[in-house]
Amino acid sequence: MAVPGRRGIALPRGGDNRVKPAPFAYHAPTSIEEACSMLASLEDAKVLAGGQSLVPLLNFRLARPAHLIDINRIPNLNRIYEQDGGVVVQALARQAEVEDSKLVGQRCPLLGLAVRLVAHRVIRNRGTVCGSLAHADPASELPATLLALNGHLVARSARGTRIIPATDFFTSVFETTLAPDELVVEAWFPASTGKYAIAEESRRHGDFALAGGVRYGDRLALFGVAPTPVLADPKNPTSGLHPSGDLEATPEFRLHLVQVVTDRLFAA
Amino acid sequence: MRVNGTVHPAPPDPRRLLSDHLRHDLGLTGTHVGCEHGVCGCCTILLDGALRHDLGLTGTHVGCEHGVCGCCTILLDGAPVRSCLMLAVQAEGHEVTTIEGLAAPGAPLHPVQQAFHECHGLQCGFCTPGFVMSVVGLLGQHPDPSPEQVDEGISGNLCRCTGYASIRRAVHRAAELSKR
Amino acid sequence: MTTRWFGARVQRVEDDRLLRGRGHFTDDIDEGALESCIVRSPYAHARIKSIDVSAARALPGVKAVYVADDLPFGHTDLPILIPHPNLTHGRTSRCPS
Repeated sequence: MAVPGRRGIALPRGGDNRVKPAPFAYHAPTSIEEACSMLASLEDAKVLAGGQSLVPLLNFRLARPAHLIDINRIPNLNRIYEQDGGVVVQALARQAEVEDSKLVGQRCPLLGLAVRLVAHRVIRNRGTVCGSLAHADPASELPATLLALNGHLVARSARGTRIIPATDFFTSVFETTLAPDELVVEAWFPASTGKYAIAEESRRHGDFALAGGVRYGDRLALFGVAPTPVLADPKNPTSGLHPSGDLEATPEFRLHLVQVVTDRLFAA
Repeated sequence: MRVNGTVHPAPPDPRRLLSDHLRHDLGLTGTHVGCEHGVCGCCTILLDGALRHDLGLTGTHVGCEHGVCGCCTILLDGAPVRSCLMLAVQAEGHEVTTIEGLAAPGAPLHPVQQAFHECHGLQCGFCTPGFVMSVVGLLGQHPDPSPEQVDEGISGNLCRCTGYASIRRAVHRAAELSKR
Repeated sequence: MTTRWFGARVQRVEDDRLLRGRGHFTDDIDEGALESCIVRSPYAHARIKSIDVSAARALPGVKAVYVADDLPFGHTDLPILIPHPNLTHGRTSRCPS
């Protein structure tokens, strides 16, 4: 995709200083407290974790935060552990780690299935589960999975700790109820016992889904067809939906895919 | 950061991609060490830019610039990542391996490189370094991959020349060669 | 005429440097060349009323901005076929280059 005006001048070897992102101040806190203090005091800051969604936005200058808070130097924030039968995934746990986790395979296999559908393994080596949730792309698998399981996120700030249920978190395209001074430190995925499945349709393997669904028991969470993941009635999944049309799919095609995906999820 | 075993300071501009840093700055030494907490604006170079333009390691290629094509794939602490989606400063404290680091100059090719040669897994060679690094990662994860695991494992890299059949064969051949 | 290559397995001779990352692709060549980009009409089918490049020319680092009038169309012996006058001074259709 050509972006006019993106290129600078090529300089002789050793002097090339091409950069893509717009200017920002870079911070690398080494504790959650330090990160929260930065988020509280710095205006217009974005958190950088895996970077697999944020860095392209920075490169295309679609995002131009004044401050970038790189949380990758914070120790002990990448654990995956059991809680209340389900699984807690901390902020810096990579999607690949969740994919490989035996604990996830035992306690919440639905999460393991969902994370395998995210992009490609190389992306998952850096991308984080919490980052995907906080980024809130409507076509992502993980927000819908959290919603179907009725899980929650834990946000920390200088003001304290807040537990945010999935049903209260996603508000619109790339928008959540996270306050500007809050940092997602972990997400809790309840145990997925009983019937569970995830299915999506995309043009190529690894692409963003044109439409998808997550089944947990009788619950159905759809993604790719609304500004946020949405809970739907398996017997009437398209009711109330007004999916967008774009180069990839018309609204009618997305509605059709919703029915296809729902039938597949509830066939077994 | 260590790149192919050699320690290098962080690149001067924080907005620099690792790929640009690696590609365009061979021999750059004594430049500003990026402050670890600071606001010096030193560290946002993207990893692929840093690799290519600061360290003169142009074997890592930049294709789509948004993580989809796989040309920029390098190993970070042994695992394949997209260098176009990393700020160069994020590589500090980590071990970066580029295509140039797989086999020392003059030394025999790495089994994955050898397999790509034997099976005609490359034509123009642009996507090849990214494929090789991804396959090194794949075989690290699955030393004896099934056909499905191979297809899944290479699905994150795009090739305009070969049509992928020869690349598939190269991955299976690489698994064989790696076992010896 | 030799037949020793008929049916023979032939290995490529260029693979070693390509596999080691020592190919020379365009972006690998650093001769201090300028970089250019082409600005296309945002409209698929429209009439060009004017083109103002003053802001672009004023940007730091920009060495030159060319529109059709700056180029010697019609004044050289070279068979310059594009752009067609309709594309630069008349109507655009499809994507002018």
